[in-house]
Amino acid sequence: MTDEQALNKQAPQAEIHSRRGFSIVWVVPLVALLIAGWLGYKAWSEQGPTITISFASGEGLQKDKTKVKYKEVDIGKVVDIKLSDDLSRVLVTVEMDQTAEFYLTEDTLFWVVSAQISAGKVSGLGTLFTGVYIGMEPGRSGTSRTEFTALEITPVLTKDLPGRHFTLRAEDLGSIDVGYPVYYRKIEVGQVVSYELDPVSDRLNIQIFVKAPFHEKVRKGTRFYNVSGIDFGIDASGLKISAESLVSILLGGIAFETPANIHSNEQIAENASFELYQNRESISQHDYNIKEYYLLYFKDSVRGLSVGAPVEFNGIKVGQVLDVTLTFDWAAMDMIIPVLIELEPERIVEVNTTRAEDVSLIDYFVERGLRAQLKSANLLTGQLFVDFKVFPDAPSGKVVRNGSYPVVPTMPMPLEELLASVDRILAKFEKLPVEEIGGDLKRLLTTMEENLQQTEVLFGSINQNVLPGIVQTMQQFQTSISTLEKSYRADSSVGLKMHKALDELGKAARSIRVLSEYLQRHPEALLRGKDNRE
Amino acid sequence: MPHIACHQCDLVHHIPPLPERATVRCIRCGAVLLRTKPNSIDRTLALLLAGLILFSVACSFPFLGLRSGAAMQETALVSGVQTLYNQGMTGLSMLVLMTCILIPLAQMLGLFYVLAPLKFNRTAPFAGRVFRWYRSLQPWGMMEVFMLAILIALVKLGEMATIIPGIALIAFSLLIFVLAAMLSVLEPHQVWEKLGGNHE
Repeated sequence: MTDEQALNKQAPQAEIHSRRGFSIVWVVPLVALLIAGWLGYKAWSEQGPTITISFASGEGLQKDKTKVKYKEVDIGKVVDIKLSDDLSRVLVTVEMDQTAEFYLTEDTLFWVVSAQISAGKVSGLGTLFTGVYIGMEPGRSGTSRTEFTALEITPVLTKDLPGRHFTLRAEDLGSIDVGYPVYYRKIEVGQVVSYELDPVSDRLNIQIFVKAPFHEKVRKGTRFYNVSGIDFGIDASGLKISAESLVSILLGGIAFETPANIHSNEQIAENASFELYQNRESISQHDYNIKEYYLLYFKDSVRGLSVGAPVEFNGIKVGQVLDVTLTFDWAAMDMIIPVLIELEPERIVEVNTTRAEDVSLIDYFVERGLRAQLKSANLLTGQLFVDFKVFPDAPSGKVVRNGSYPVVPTMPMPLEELLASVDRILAKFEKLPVEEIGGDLKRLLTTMEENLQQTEVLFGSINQNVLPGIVQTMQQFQTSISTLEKSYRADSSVGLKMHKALDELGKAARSIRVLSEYLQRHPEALLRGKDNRE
Repeated sequence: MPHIACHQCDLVHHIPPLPERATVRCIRCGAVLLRTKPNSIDRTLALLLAGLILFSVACSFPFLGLRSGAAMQETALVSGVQTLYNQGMTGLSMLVLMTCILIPLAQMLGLFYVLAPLKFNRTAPFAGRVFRWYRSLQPWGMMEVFMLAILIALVKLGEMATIIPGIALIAFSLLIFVLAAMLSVLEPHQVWEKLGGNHE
């Protein structure tokens, strides 16, 4: 150790400071800790709810990659994909953003967005590069939920857009599909939102959306029609080809227009129903596509009631007769004649509609005394028509709806009533005691004869006893007459008046003769009056 | 009193007690034998803790987002390695995993294992070996290289895609600076001296 000692001697020992206490450098980890803590807290607090969406297929969905988007903004991420216990569904667990929590309610919609070519539009092209994503339509109401079932098809989102939804009723879908355009004057103004089969009427309800401001063009009298493809028509003026647009030629669509009539300009509310016509021609050709069928039971003769005869209400045609058959009712042991009619409710324009939807017009009117009645349309040909008339005195009736067709109560036809009353009058006539009257007359005549004989006797005695006195009186009378004659000459005023009066009497006698001759020829004039045509 | 042999010319020097900021050079060849740094262990430990926190942030948050059109790709440090592995680049993925994640982590933990007890004038078992391993692992920690690669990618891809830097990227760059600072305050000689050993 001599070396060490030697070294120690050579070098003096330095002073050594050892500093203890807080060093400024500890601020660095402290700051790092604060930042990390804040980041961690932020991440934790921003964590949204975890929800489960059930899909029919997991096609294109990827764990940790597939996003949930609303308006193309990420609001969630798929964190797990697994099959349901019965292997029927794909259960996708999604971590949503905190902001989305409020919108996860009963009517929140989810669906898979992938590249699509439909309705003339290519959509979701981005998903070709990024893979599919899950679209979301936030719920607006209802209780919040964490389990959802995804839609099979991409819905057409119209909730937020200004405009209106309408329902079109159609016999078949034609070539229409969800997302297909709606045209007004060949401008695209909306699209088909959805369609469903109405189980009650067995017809299709097609939901469409017309965006603002075009929704105001849909009025009460608006007619919607299918514009799929090209319309060919040959008429006297030549070949007619019409088409809505290139897209509609290839795919199809719906167009609407409002023909002018009294009520066509009234505004219409959200979700109003319209008929979807097959093509543009059919709007003008067949105005009334909705038919309601009713049965009428008549007991009296329907002679003159033919198929196609009109059904009128207050003189306006509301339908027509479809079928007339003779039926024997074994229960009532009576012949009845059921008449099938169709009513076209579209012919009746309803205004100020505040009534409940389920009360039909016919129910209301039958209750107030509406009856179907056969009426003579033409007395010469005897054609009949069905008249709907309200009889205020009639007992409140009801439309019976237990058979295949609802039954509207009827009333006997008015001509029959007339005939019935004539019969009654005749019967009264028959009851008159004509023979008695004859006997009375005979007795009267014999009495008169007796009286005359007595008068003759009386006159004989008068001849013998009274005449000489009379002759004397007559002579005196003649004298008086001559005196009178002087004063009553033809040119005197009394004579003139007499002459006039006699003339009048002559005229009266003539007209009585004319009348009697006329009556001889036209005895019915006594009842009906003089026919002016003669 | 400690003695130091020069790395270059093997001349043994006797080192006297040194002032707080001093550079000790070989009297024969002029090579730097050691530098004294004030509060070396304290500072190293502080920066080391900051580094560990930043490292955990870098590992748990998204690193980088790339958006090109509708396509969006987000990656984290660990998932990046996983992606490389899934794409068949096993070797490269292992290399990245080792040089950027495992080795820096091992280094930091090892250093912490050695320094934390020293702060309280104690010595952890096998602290000397751990410190030697730490020293020998030094060349394998290549976070700077990784960072450089990312920067190059950013510049090259910037034209094709929108790049969204994640929180982890910021943490990672800070980590590099913190680790660099730590290395500069760490004085191995002082650690060795504190560990004693040669007096046992």
